[in-house]
Order: sequence, then C-alpha cells, then structure tokens
Amino acid sequence: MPKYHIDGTDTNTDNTTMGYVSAHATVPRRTRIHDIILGSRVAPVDQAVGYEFSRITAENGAPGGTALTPVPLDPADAAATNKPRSAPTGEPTYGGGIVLYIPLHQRPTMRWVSAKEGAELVTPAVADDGIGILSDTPTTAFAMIWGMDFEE
Amino acid sequence: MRSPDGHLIDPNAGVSGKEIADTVQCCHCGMHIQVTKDTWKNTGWCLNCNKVRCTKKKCQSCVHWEKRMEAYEKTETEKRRLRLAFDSV
Repeated sequence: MPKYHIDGTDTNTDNTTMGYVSAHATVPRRTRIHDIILGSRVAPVDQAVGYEFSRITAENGAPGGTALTPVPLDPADAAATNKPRSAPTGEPTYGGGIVLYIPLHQRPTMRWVSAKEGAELVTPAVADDGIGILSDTPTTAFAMIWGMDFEE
Repeated sequence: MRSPDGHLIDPNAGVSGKEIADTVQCCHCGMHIQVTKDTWKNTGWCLNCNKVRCTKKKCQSCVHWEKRMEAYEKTETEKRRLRLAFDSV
C-alpha cells in the first residue's frame, strides 16, 4: 500500500481540531496511520496540553482551514484519495471514541509509531470518516506543529 | 514490555531518539493505551483474543475491532446509499 506524509500547524485552543484525515466522499478507502509527530517551535515556556486522536464520523459542511495534499513517500505512487485538512475552522463531527491520547509539555517533541503491522490507527472506508487531532485543556494555547504518515 | 503495539519516542534525545513509553492496543476498539505502572489496574484482558482490552462497556463483549469496522462500513455505506436514493426521489 502506498504511504503518504502530511503536516500542519495550528494554535491548540481547548477542544478544537488542529487537523484531520478523512476518507474521500465517493471512493473511500481505509487509512492506516503508522507515524505521528507533535511539537512546537515557539519560544519555550512551561505549558502542558493533551492531544486526543478521535474518530470522525462526518466532516463539517464548511470546514475552512487549509486543505492538505498528501505527499507520496515513493514519488512513483499515485495521489492519495484521502482529503486531510489543517487548522479547520468548522469542527468535524466526532463519534466512535478516542484511539490515542498523548499528554505533552510544550518543550519536547513527541513521536508515536506503531510497533507492528495491524497496530496502526485505522479509519473505516466510509465517506468523510477519519481521525482528528483534538486539543485537550492546554494551560495556555500555543502554536503547535503536527505530522502524520499514513497508508491507504 | 515484551510485545508492544506502539512506541512513544522523544526524537530529540540522543542520536536516534529515546523511547519514552510503549502503547498497547485494545483488541476490541483499536484504542492505544500508554503503558505505565498503573495501566494494568485500568485495563482488562480478553481470554478469547488473548490480548489487552480497554474498560469501555462496548469492549467487554469479544468482537475484534476489524470485524466491528467491517460491520460499520457495511451499514454506513448502505445508509448513505439509501439516503442518496431518497434525496433523488
């Protein structure tokens, strides 16, 4: 399966989505996220935050933000069908629960990798379903950067 | 941990990063749980799958997450097909 990379940036205001991957509306495919990186490049201060990776059941009608184009890790691969988005202004609909929770301080960068095949974060092949990154109770919101590698 | 499902890594520590913690995946919903010394107090074990499961109510019955996802895909695709058909009438 071809692998793709996406990354985005947003301010981690409490309970807002910083980015998401969501399946294509007409040709949905399963997405398997196997690598995630979270960090910040603003001046270091002591702030704490939690990041929830939750399932999305529907995209907002007016999502706003920036539509991302997944970059194939192998240039010979075709373009991804997935339609990820960074810093959306219209919140997607969440349902189906949290699949990963990463509590993090502002200073370090954190990377999560799946240890084996089959342990990735998988989204169903249903139109507009996906996984979003939700900020959870930052002490003070700050600009953060996220990146994801996925296959579909 | 002997057979983790995921790793949390600090990529800036050392030459190639330092592993901070392991994660284990619930065999019934696919959620990853960070392994700490107290993890085992808050997780269950499915004797059928012989794997870790989380404590969510829906995860108490033994249905593998992939089977659950296949059922969800089937019903959702059908629901949306019917909705489209209804809208076009």
